[in-house]
Order: sequence, then structure tokens, then C-alpha cells
Amino acid sequence: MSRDYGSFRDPDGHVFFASDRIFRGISSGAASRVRRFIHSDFYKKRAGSQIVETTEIPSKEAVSAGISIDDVNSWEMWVEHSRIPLITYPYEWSFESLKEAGRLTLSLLIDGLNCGYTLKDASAFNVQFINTKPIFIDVLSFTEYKEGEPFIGYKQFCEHFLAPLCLSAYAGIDYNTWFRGRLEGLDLVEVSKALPATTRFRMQVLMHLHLQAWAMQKVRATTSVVKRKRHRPVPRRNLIALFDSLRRFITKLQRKRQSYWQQYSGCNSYSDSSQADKTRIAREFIMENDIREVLDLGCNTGEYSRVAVDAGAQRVIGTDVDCGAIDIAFKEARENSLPIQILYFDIANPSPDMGWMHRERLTLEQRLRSPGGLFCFALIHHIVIGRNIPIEFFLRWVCGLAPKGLIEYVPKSDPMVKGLLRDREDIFVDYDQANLERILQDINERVVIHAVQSSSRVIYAYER
Amino acid sequence: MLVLLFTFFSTSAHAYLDPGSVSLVLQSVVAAIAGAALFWRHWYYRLLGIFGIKKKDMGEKNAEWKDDQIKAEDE
Repeated sequence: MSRDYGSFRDPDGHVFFASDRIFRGISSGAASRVRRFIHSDFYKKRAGSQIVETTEIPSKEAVSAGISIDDVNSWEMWVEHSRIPLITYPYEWSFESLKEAGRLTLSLLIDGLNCGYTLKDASAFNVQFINTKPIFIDVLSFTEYKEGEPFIGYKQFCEHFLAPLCLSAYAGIDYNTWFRGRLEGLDLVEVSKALPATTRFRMQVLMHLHLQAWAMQKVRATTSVVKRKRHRPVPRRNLIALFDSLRRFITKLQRKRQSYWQQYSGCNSYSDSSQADKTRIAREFIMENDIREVLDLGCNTGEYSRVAVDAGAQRVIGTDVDCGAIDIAFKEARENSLPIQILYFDIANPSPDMGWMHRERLTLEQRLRSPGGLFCFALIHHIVIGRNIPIEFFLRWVCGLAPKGLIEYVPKSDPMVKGLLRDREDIFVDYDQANLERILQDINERVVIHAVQSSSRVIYAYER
Repeated sequence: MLVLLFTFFSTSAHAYLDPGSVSLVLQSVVAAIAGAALFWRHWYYRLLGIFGIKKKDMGEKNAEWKDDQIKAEDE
């Protein structure tokens, strides 16, 4: 049994993992509210599609699952949530994913306001993805709406969704590393400074970001304590109009910068016949080994993730460091409802464990269950030559991720590698085929070599 | 003026999140603007309707983002 350290901020309840199941203990102060909520039509209509499925369970079931009696007794009510295949964080999402998560949050808020509910926060960590579909996981966020009450999570929504999206859409700055550096969401003052001056003429950006940042700065500068009084009510129709306009605005946002890898399919060193051969090798690997889950490292626009699905894989996790490419991969998967989850992931600088006591947010490897198979196509040269990671380190790490996989070797004679070495001394003496084969054979039980037709590249199938 | 505005606000008693006093003030102002804009748009479309001019109305616009989402028919 383990308590999830990502869920301690709200004293109304905590998440627990036990026997491969997810439970939530709910405090006496919140129990009746949560009970009413999970029996409401509003929740029932959205359970499993927009809000994670939640069922009340007797305390003894939590005990039999392995949660300690002390823990069980310290909470008034216990619920079980359906399991999310892979927990991901907003700094691992593509622009389009964050947009979808933001739209879902606003949709739940607006529909909730219409039905007498509101959200008490608007954290992007409340949303998870099942493939490309966002789902809201925090039932504790829903509270009964009191007429005239403002939305408490407005500032947080701006920090977690609006600011990163605008940063990417108007300044051409991908938000992922900013978000990773600041788990509380982006600083509105910083984002306001980073946005081009022309965004001051855009009503939504002006109102929600620039004006808010300006006022926050003014308040930070004052030291006087302001006496608090009751707030003036905000009419519900105004709140709905506000969040409806915000949702329409977010929907229209587009990522600004075009990246090189976005057009990779058109500018790689592959001929049509070698590409067809690579596809054949990938397909046969999935089919012959009956691989169900694939981790596609360096998935780019998701071409081979789609090949894997087409060959019978039931789930593919595609990762890449290029925000433009993963955006395309996400859109393609969403439009075709493919079982593909796309993540921003820098292999040489992966998602760390961080937050409170390094336990609030976990590394991707801690969250990822070992997939049956792995694709590592045209990636090795970027890591070994582009990032100076020793080839043996890289191969040992890659082979440790899945019991079987395909690793593509790109020789120094390849134009893509020549490009990487163009302006620097070639210090990579151990980057050669013989050395790679030696290391692979050392790590694995079985290594099969597939030469890619009419190409100098080679694909290795390994089996640990 | 800003300080004056803050005196109208306090955070909800049960919130664990700090909504930020500035943001609360701003929210009510921005919500009033959005509410007014919606009101005027509504009448603008009605007026156009009276003169027989057909434009893409609010309902259709909303349908664009709703796509596969559940419609707010719960009321």
C-alpha cells in the first residue's frame, strides 16, 4: 500500500494505491458532499467519459486491499477510482493536449454552474489522458455552487492553462520546461513580460493575463494589510459568459512556431523503398512477437506508432522532445481515435521526481509499466552524438525499458549524422556498428540484424 | 483605487486554494464585461433576425467547440 504524495494539498481527501487499485479516503467534512455528487445526474452522465469513474466502497474493502487500519479509520468515507493506464503531467503534454485539458476543465465548470456545481480549483494536474482523451480525476474538486460566488480557481486556471498556451501561441515559446520549473503553474507576471506587445490589443490576453499580472505586481509592491469584507456577488450568468468566452478563445489558439522535425517525414535521408522496408520490419516485429504495448522513443510525428497500432498493438506510448512533432502526432491520433498516448520527453533530461520531498511528482520510469515492446528509431545519434551520452549508457538504458525491441543504428556516413558532426570534432570513437553489436550482445539473450533496404541504416531486434 | 476594490472581497471559507485577491476583483470585472458582451450580442442577433438577416448564431458557434463533449442539457 502506498499513499500518493501528489494528493496532499486538499485536506478533504487523499489518494492511496493498493493491490493495483486506486482508492481515495474522504474526510468527514467532505463525505456527504462527495456522496451527493457521485449520486447526481451531473456526475452519472459524465462518469467514465469526462470524470473518472468513482464508486463508494465499504471501509473493510479498503482494509482487505491492503490499506492499514489506521489509515482507513482516519477517513470517513472510501471510494475507488477506475485506473488510468499512465499518469502524466502537464509538462509532458503537447500544446494540443494542454488545450484539450483546459477545454475539459472549462466545460465541466460551465456545465457544473448550470447544474449547481462549481470547481474549487483548476489545476492541470486534475486532468489525465486515456490515449488522447482527457478525463478529470479529482472528484473532490466539485462543490455545490452558492449563488454569487466567484470561481476560486480563476487565477490557477490562468497559471496552469491560459498562460502556457498563450506563451506558445503568441511568443513561440514552448511551455514545457517553464512548467516543469514551476509546479504551481506559470508566473503571470513573467508570461506577461514574455508576450509580444501586440497581445495587449487582444481582449482576452489583455484582460486575463496582462491586466492580472499588472495588478498582481501592484499588490506585491504594497505592504499594507487590507481589511477583508464580504465579496460582492458575481452573477452566475456573467461567470458562465466569462468562461464560455475563455473556452472559445482557447479553442482557437494554435501553436506558433514551426519546428524542423514537424516536416521530418519530408526531409529525412530515407528513400521510399527503405521507408517501406523499415515499416515492414516494424510490422513484423509487432505481429510475430504479439506485442500489445509499445513504447516508441523519439516518435516524431508518430508515423511508426501508427504502424504499431496498425500491426495489432493495443496501446502505444510515443515520446519525443520536439513540441511541433508531438503536436502533429497527438492530432493524428485524436482525429483517428488511435490508442496512442503522446508525451514530451527528453531522454537526456527526463521528468524528475520533484515537488514536496521529491515525492509529489514522479519520474516517468516510476509511473510507466514495462511495455511489451520498444521502438527506438533514428534516435541513437541524437543522444550519443548530439548530447554526448556514452553509447553503452544509452543502450543499457534503452534495453532495460522493455524485454524486446527494435533499435535503429544510423552510421556516421548518413547525412543526418554528418549534419550533427559538421561543426565539431568527431570525438565519438566508440560510435560504430561493431561496438554497438558487441554491447547489444552483451546485454541481451538474442540480437537479430535487419539491414534496411537501399539504406546504410541497420535495425537491431533485441530480446533480453 | 485598487485597494478600495479589494475591500469588497474575501475568499470562500472552505477553499484550500488561495484565489488571490487581485484575481477575484479582476474576475468580477471581467465577468461583468463578458456578461454585457453576451447581452449585446444576443440583441444584435435578434435585431438582425427582425430584418431577416441570417448570420451564424451563438448556438451554432457553441456547437463548434462542443463536438463530442456532452451537451449541457442537464438543467
